[in-house]
Amino acid sequence: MNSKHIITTLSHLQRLRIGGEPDTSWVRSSRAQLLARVAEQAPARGGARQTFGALRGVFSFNAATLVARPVLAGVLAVAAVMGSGVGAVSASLGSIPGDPLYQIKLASERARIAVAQSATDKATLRIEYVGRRVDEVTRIAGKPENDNSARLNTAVQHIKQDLGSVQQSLSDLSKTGEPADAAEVANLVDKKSEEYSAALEKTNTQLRVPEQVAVKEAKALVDDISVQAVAVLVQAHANGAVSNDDIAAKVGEKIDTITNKANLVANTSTSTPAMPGSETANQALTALGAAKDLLDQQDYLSALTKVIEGKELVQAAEKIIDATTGAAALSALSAASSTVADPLIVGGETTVGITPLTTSTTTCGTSSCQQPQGTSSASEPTGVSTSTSPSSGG
Amino acid sequence: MSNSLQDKLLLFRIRLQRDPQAFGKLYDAYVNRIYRFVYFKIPLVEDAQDITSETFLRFWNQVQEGAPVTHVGAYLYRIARNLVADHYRTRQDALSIDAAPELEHLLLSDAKGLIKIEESLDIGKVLKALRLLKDEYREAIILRYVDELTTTEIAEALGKSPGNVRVLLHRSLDTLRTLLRTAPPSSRT
Repeated sequence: MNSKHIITTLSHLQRLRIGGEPDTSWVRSSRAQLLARVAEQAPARGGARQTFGALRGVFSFNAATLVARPVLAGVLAVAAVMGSGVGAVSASLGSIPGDPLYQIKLASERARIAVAQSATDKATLRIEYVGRRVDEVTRIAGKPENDNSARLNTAVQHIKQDLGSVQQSLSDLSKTGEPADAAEVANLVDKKSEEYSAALEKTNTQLRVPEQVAVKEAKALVDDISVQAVAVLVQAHANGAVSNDDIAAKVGEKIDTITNKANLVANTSTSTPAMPGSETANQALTALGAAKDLLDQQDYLSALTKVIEGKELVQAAEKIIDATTGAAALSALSAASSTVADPLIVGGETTVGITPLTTSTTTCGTSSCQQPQGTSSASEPTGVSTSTSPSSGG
Repeated sequence: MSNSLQDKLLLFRIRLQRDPQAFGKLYDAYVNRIYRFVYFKIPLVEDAQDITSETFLRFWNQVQEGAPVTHVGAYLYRIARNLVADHYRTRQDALSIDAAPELEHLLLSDAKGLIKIEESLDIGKVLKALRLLKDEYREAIILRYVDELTTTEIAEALGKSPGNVRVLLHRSLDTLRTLLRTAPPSSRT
C-alpha cells in the first residue's frame, strides 16, 4: 500500500463518519447551554481604539501574501471595518468607479455593514454610503475626460443599489423595529437625501444631455427615499415616537420642498410656448395645496398621501419637459457632431438612453402624460419607469 | 479547513462585541470536528461530550481574555487536546492517551459497515497500523488526513513549528507505510 492509497483510506474515516458523529440532540442542547452561559456577559461596544486592539489579536496581516490572494479585497475590507488605516483601504476611500482600488472601497463598505451590530447602525451606514456614491458622481462630472459615461453609469447603478438597501432598511425598521429607532433613522435619511438631491441637481448642470438622464433617474430615487422617510416618521408619530410639532414640521418641510420644485417646473413649462408639462405641474401644485390643508387639520397621513401624489406629478412633468428639451438638444448635438464619431449618436439618430426620449415625445401628448396620479404609469413619457411609490412605507 | 475569513469576522465579533450569535456560528462550524477529535481519544460518549462543550466554553473565555488566535480551528483543537490530557491526568483509572481505544471504538461502533469497508478500502489494515503508531504520529495523521487541517493549523494545535509538523507528518506516514508493508496478509478478516 503506497502513501496515496493510505491517505485515501484515511480520508474515508471522515467521510464514512465511523463512530465520531455526535448525537444531534446533544449538539443542540449543548449549543443552547453554551450560548446561555456566554450571553450572561454583557455585550461591550468599543470605539476605534478598542476595535484596533481587537483586530491585532484576530488578524495577522502579511501584505506580501495577501496581495497574491483573491480575497485581498475582502480581507482589506475587514481591515477597513476596524478603521485600522491599512494603506490600500485608506487609499481606496478616494477612488471612483473605474479606479483599481474602487472594488476595495466597496468591499470595505460591505464588510462594515456586515459587522454593524444593529439594524439602525446598518441603515445609518447605508445612507452614508449613498453619500459617497453621490460624491463620486460629482467628482466624475468634474473630471476633464471627454467621456465619463461608463464611470458615471457605474456610480449611478451603485446609487440605485444602495438606495434599494436603504429603502429595505427603512421598511424593515418601520415594520419590526422600535418606533424610536425607525424615527431616528428616518430623520437621518430625510436629512441626507435632501443634501444628496441638491448635490445631484447641481452636478447635473455640468453633464451632457445623455449623462443627465442617468443622474436624474438617481435623483428621482433619492427624492423617493426622502418621502419614504417622512412616511416612516408619520407612522412613528402614530406610535407615539414622534411629537405633533415634529411631524407637522417635517411634513410641512416636505410640502414646501416639493412645492418649490413644482413651481420651478411650472414656470419652465410655461416659459416656452406650447411646452407640454405645465398642466401636470399645475396638478402637482393642486395636490400640494390639498396637502397643506390636510396638514392644517393635523391629518398627517392624508397630507403625506397628497405629498406623494404631488411628487409623482412633478417628476412626470419633469420627464415631459426633459423629453422635449432633450430631443431638441440632441438634434443640435447630432448636427454639430456629424463629422465626429460619437458612440451616443449614430447617423444623426439617438441610440443608448436616448431613444426612449425621442419616442416619448411622439407618443406622449400633453393629455396622455398627465395621468400618473401618484403611481407608476406604463405610458411614462421617458420610458424610464417611475420608481415605486413609497406610500406603502407609511 | 475553509472560510477562514468568515472565522475571523466571527472571532472579531466574539472578542469585541461578545456576540453570542457569532459564537453560535463558530460552534456550528466546528462542533462535529472537535467532538470527533475528542471521541477518538475518550472511550465514554458522555466524557467526550463534556470535553467538547468545555472546549468551546474555554475558547470563549480565552478569546475574551485576549488570547492571540490565528486559526480558530487549530486553537479549538489545541484546547481540546489539553482537556483530553487533563482528563487522563485526573482519572487514574483511565487508559493512557497512547492506549486510547479509538480503534476498538470504531470497530465496535459500526462493525458491520466496517467489514464492508475493509473489503474495498483496506481500512481495517490502516486502522490496525495506526494503533501501533505512537500517539504523536497518530495525532498528526488524524489531524492532517482525517480532519484535513493544514500544516500551519496543526502546528498551532500541537504547539510546534510548521516545519516540525511537516517532518512529523513525513515520519508518521513513513512509519505507517512501513507497518502496513510488514503487516501479515491475514490482518484483513
